[in-house]
Amino acid sequence: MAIDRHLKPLGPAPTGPYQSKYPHRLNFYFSPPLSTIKAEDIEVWALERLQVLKSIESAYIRFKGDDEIRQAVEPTLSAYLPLSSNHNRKANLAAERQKDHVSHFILRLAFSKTAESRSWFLRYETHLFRLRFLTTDFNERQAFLETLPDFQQRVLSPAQKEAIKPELRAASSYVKNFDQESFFEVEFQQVLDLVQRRQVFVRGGKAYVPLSDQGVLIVNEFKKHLEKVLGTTAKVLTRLDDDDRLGPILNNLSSQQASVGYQTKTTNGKVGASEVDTGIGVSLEDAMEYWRKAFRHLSDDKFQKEHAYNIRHNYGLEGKRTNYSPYSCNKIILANHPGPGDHHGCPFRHFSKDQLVDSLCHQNLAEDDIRSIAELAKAGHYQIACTRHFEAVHKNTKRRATESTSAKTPDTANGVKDAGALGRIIHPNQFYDQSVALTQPEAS
Amino acid sequence: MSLATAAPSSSSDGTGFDFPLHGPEFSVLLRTFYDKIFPCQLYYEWLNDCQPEPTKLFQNREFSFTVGDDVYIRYQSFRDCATMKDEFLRLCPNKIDIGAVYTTRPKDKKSILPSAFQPIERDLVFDIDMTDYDEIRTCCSGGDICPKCWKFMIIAMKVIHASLVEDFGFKHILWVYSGRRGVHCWVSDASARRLTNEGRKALVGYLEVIRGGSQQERKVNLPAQLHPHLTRSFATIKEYFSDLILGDQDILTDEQQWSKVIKIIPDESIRQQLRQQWSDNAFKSSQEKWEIFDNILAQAASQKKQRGNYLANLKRDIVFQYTYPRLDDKVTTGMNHLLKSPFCVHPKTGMCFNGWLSYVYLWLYLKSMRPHAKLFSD
Repeated sequence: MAIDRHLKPLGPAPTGPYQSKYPHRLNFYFSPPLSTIKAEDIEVWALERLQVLKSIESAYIRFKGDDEIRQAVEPTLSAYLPLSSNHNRKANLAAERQKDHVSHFILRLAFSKTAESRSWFLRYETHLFRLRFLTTDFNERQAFLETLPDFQQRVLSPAQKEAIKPELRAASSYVKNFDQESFFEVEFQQVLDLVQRRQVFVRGGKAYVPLSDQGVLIVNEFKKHLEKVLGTTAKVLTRLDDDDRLGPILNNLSSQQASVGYQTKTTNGKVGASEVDTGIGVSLEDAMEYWRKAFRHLSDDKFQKEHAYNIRHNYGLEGKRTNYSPYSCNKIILANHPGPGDHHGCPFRHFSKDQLVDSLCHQNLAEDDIRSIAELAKAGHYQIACTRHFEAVHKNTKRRATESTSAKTPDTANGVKDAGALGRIIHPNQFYDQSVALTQPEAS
Repeated sequence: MSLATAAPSSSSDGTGFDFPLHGPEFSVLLRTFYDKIFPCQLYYEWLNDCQPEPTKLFQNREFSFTVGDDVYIRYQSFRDCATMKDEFLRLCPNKIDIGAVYTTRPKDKKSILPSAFQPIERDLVFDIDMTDYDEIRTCCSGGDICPKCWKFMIIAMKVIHASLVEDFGFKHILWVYSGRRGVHCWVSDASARRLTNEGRKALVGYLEVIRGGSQQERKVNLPAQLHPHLTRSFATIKEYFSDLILGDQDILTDEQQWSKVIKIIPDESIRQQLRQQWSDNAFKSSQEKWEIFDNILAQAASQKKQRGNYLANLKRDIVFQYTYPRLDDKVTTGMNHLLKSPFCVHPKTGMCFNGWLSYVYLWLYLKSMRPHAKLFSD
């Protein structure tokens, strides 16, 4: 790497054309780049990769299927970080792949500081790898896989397959050509997400994965490896602190990701929404009174026992004594789903359709609005549904809303695409803040 | 699964004893309990992976005590079995919780960097709590539990035990009565202890079928083709559905109860027919009302052929929603989550049924691991 004044290269610099250095489109990023790179390039490349990761993040919030996500990310990917296949004669394969390689390592350094940034980077780098793996053609994939160390796969013999056929077929119902498909045996820990979705047959601690599904395995291997090295990087990062050239670049990069002002912290209180109160500045006493009313069907004793503690906890008066900041929409929608007996969650995500329509009716919204909100929620566009809801509630003051928050108005015909990253409600407190901004006189 | 039949007998009033659960008298009793009854040696062997010499598994294990007036002491750890027993006798804790095995001794936590103090292993635990069944059980609610509810626990243990053994190949599984209103499951195989948080989450996802909070009526949505784990579980829970759900729990007895079932059904015409026919036959038993539901579904299926599967799945999903185990997933997924230890007295009920029950089972369990070892000295 370019910082040879401070850090010596780890090995002899490779000679010869880059073609031989990067024979494959995919990269597991086992070893850092060793060639000399200009400092300006480092920053530009890293920022461009960050753009890509961010666009993946927003695509994952807005879309569900692989195809939709791929389409959404494609423009950013080809603009900032193209990576052509070996068949592409026009592209400068070596330069593309070097940029990919270097930018990965720079971001890895920038994002290894805190646990939160590590997990963000890990998540979206893994998604990026996954997208690329899916778009790599079969032969190139195989060639790449053969280079991976310790990737042992045990393919079932026809007799073994026959012995567990009924169960295997039932568990792998999504496999199209079951009879032609070959399966291989791995430890169930290697395919946790298949296990979690019950999409793989498990017996005696072994999982039986169809060969066509190897993507999951490779992606998991990638993730495991990256997680491990991120931890290692975090430990040696302090040695970089006195580097006056790379240090500021890294700090700048890692602050780029936290561009949204609503930080997230975690705790699993049963009353998730009460954290939102702390965020909008409700005093503890008022919060207690509000929640007492909201849970008025409970006896006083039960309320004190089950909820008062949680509220006081959120305000930092019990337990760990940290004043928690509230969850973002993303966190509420993707993680920490309510179970039986829980009351928290996002109304657009966790209410059944009837319940949602019911509670919207209570707010005296127009029939049309209610229908379109419910449809958006049903289609999985929870945050857009929420934004629609915001607009429906503040119909009269909408024009000013658009000015003050730069919220674009998604009209229902092509609403989904129109609600760009800026216009969406991304945090419950944002809903509150914007509502307050609307109802208060313009002077303030 | 013989332990499943040993339901607690005197718990319906919440407390099984008539002595006070605090004050000096109680401390004397607790002291006697830790001195004479608490199976320290067995307990130690269980946590020490059956090794005679204390290993890191035991020494770096976090214990937490609740003493006196709800004073909570975390991050305790012990050198060996004797020091543990001494500490039990000195403090006479009302309650003992077990946490994770850490990189270093939890006692030294304050003297080392937080980054060097990380949980590395913990038994895979499951907590099944009767309160999660409140929306479907009609016999009791909250912390109460009766022999009728206990059947839910039997089903849960059967279903989860079968999956842990057959699907995941775990061998060292210990089920204990939690002392109040549920059961705990401790899986101590090395591969289970070393599962990451993600691995634990995946297992919970694999086992979990009932999803959604109080704002969602239909909590089960399974595909037409069931996964082998669910096919096996369905065979188990089907046996209980008629007796327990329609019989004991009598879920279709009156309108308030049956309207909960009706809300699950997405099809408005079936809803209406059901409402009509169940009100007309309000005096009939739940079993007979369930047959009415069967007939309505059969009729609807014959009218529209392609909906036959969908309707059969609907009925199957309702059976799942009312009978399949409900897990408290937070306890399982967090590596450093504490869980009440087996054998200790439950502070709210004063019961240590788990102690007596699992005393025998732990003995059998350890014996199966080390058939020739002499486990009891007295």
